[in-house]
Amino acid sequence: MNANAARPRIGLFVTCLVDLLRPGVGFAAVKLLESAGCIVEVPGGQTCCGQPAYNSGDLSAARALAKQTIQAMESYDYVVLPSGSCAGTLRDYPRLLAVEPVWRQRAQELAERTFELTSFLVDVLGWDAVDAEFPATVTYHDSCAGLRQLGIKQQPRRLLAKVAGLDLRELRETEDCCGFGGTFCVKYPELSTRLADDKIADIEQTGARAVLGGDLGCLLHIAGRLHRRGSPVKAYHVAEVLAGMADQGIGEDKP
Amino acid sequence: MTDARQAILNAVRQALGRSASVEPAPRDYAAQPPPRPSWREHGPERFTRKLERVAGSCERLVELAAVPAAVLRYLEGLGDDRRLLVAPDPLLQGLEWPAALQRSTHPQDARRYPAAVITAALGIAETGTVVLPSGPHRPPSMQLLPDHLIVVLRTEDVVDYVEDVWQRIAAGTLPRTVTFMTGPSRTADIAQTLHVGAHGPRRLHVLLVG
Amino acid sequence: MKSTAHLFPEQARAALTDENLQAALRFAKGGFIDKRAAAVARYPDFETLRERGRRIKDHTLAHLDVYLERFAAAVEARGGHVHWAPDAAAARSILLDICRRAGARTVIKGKTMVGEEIGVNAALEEAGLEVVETDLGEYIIQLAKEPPSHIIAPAVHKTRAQICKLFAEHHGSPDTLREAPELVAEARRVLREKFLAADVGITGGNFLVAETGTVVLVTNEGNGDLCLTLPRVHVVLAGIEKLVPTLDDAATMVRLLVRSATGQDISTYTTFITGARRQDEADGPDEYHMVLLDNGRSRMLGDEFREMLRCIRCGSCLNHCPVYNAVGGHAYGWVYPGPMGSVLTPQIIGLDATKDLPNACTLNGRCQEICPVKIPLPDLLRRLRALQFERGLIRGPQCWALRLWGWLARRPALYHGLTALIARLSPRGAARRLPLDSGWTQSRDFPLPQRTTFQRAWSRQAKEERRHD
Ligand code: SF4
Repeated sequence: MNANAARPRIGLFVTCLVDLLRPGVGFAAVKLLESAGCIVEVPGGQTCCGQPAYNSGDLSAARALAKQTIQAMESYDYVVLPSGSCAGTLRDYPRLLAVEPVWRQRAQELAERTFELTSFLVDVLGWDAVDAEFPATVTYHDSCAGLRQLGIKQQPRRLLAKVAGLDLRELRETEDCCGFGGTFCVKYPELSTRLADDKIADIEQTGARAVLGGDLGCLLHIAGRLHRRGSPVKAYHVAEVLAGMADQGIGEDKP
Repeated sequence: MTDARQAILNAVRQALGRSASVEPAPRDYAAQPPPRPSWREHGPERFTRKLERVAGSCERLVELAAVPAAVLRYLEGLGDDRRLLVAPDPLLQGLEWPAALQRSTHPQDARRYPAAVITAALGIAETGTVVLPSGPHRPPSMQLLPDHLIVVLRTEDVVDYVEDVWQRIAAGTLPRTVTFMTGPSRTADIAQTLHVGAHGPRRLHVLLVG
Repeated sequence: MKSTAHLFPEQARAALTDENLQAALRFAKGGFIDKRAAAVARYPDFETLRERGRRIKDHTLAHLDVYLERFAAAVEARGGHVHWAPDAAAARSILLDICRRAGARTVIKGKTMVGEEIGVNAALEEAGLEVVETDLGEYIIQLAKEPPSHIIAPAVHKTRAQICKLFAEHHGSPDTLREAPELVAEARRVLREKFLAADVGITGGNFLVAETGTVVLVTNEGNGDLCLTLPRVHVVLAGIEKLVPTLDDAATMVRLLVRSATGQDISTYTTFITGARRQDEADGPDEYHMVLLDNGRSRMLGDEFREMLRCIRCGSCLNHCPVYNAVGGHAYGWVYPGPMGSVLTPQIIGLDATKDLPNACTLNGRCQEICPVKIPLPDLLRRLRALQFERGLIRGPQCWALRLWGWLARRPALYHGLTALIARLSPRGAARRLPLDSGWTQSRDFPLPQRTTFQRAWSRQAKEERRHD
């Protein structure tokens, strides 16, 4: 490990959702990490962190993916993810692999060096020299895993405060789940939609033109519902705004 | 019955991975007291403040002899009914009661009388609570059935915390019931809004003496 | 109570469109959360208190055999009868037996969730006894012939208008929209007669204190105290997990319970019952019985669900659960709703009949954050999902999709090739419909890939850079 060197080497775990559906978030993360003085690499051995399997009870698949991820990522100083819930899954690997002592140890070492993007920038690097502009009123959705498992709350706000022109108006219920919940959103679509609608009502009462968040899962769900309702409110990953790369909202066809 | 007892205890032991009971490990968490509220005011003042916050009322009296007059005043504030249950407690029975009051010491009358006066063994400053152990001097129906409950509490009997109660009422001498009463009976079962006078006393009035 | 937990999806859907229910739930939610938050904020160090609560319960559970024996011995030493019920049927027959021997006709009850768990009312009524609930919320739903929908606020799903209607029907009072104080007074009047006439009083117990054989009962209405004072016989019904070692430990637990449940500093009545009526007492029942119920608890003690036995039934996890707040308690189909119920119900009535419960959760973690005894509810739900998976209880297309995904994700080269191909072939924007899916797109559009995957674009870019170097 080489954490004290001038330029930490980062293994970016891009997450399967960003990889397939929103590649721009990955590039935004790279840009932010490089601006903060990191060397960023994207190992090709990564796919999905195994969260869907872990949360669905398929522990053998989850363990296999955990091991694959450990192998792909453990040679870096830090592993950074543009997602609180996937970062949370990596932090859970030691528990998932508890019965295999050697793997448990490797998982533990990896977990200690694993961070969600905004928390890595602020808490680990102490960096907030954001150079971006986003002249709009926005609001922020705290994803549950980031908020409760990783304690991510102030970090994105501190960074967003540096974005020129951006006016952040808080939701009334910042602690409320948006109803995504991984497979929950397709198993119980009516319930999930009801929670999304509550969230959207809250978003709309702020008068925001866009909703930002740190987890693409929640954002796809919120954006998908906004889109279906014909709402003008757009959704972006916070990294896109911080990197000055937020043009087309999630699910939008045109800028 | 004994079979069921054995069956459950065996199942519990099996779950705990042993075949016979072993002496529990010391309660290591008990080395320190739990975090508890603290306050600057005197115990009786805190007691009064906390009680009033839960819709109880409190009147300070300098001496026990002032109790009957205070009780009469309280009843006069309610209307013309002068029926009063007085707990069969020597402390209360030894007082000079005004002739205007129609007194009874029978628990049976608790079903009909509008008000009762009883003594509290202790008060708790932490929560504004009166502590009411059952016994010949304090039949529980007197403290539950009448609409108005007047409780006499001496300031020297106000302890700080709930735990302190068990220093004063030792484990070996526990009566059938000890009721901690904090304010009038209340309910929030109708549309989640708070209303007093559910089943127990509609009002709790404490005469704090000393 | 017969379970309809297997109908969760249908019941939840129906609940979402039930306007009365939605109005009642919206009204209740904020109140519970705010009151708890204020009480916790007032407390000097609630986190340390929670940790202490957790340790008290863990310690007790680790020595449960000894504490149960001590408790029972202490109750018996003070003239109480202790009954042991391995399951619900045993508990019912013990209760029936007590009532029969007392020649009872009327039974009054304080609120007891264990009573709901074993189905006391139906059993006693079948035997010809009149059973009257005296907690106002329980009384309301008894009139409505419904089960409770919340473990501390059983009638939380009822609006004032609905309660007025029920009272009009059953008490013959005017059928108009009346104010709550009038309704409270009316219930007080009606129930007072029942209290005075009852032969047997049944209550629950919030904590059982081993050192003294004391039952701690926490209520606000005073109905519990009347139940244990006026009838000739008093019976306490409690699960074996309710033990704590000492009276001081009970003080800590009560502090946690009331703040978490209602945001109070203490309940109006906190009553400590130790044994039967003493000889010199004018008041109180002639007989005192304690029924200790196992019903799956000893099994949980020995498996990976032991932590659930720390539960003190405060209801806070319900109040903070987005799913509970959207559908209410009845959708869960059995006695215990919300997060705690979704863990407990499968333990008591079986995994097969409760397949949805562990899955109907977004794993948002708020319940764990506020649980006064730090039960890792989301984790326990995950463990239940793993058990379901192991036993092949999870089926259907979503399961296959997931397996396929897992299979593919373990083959990075194939995975990257295939995802890049999908991204290239996919239209852009957002889809109103997806092949093989209705779960997402019945109410949401699906944001589509943007021509390339990140991995593909990244390696292209890296290649370009190498060429330029
Ligand atoms: S699980 Fe925790 S929060 Fe839920 S009822 Fe039990 S003690 Fe309360």
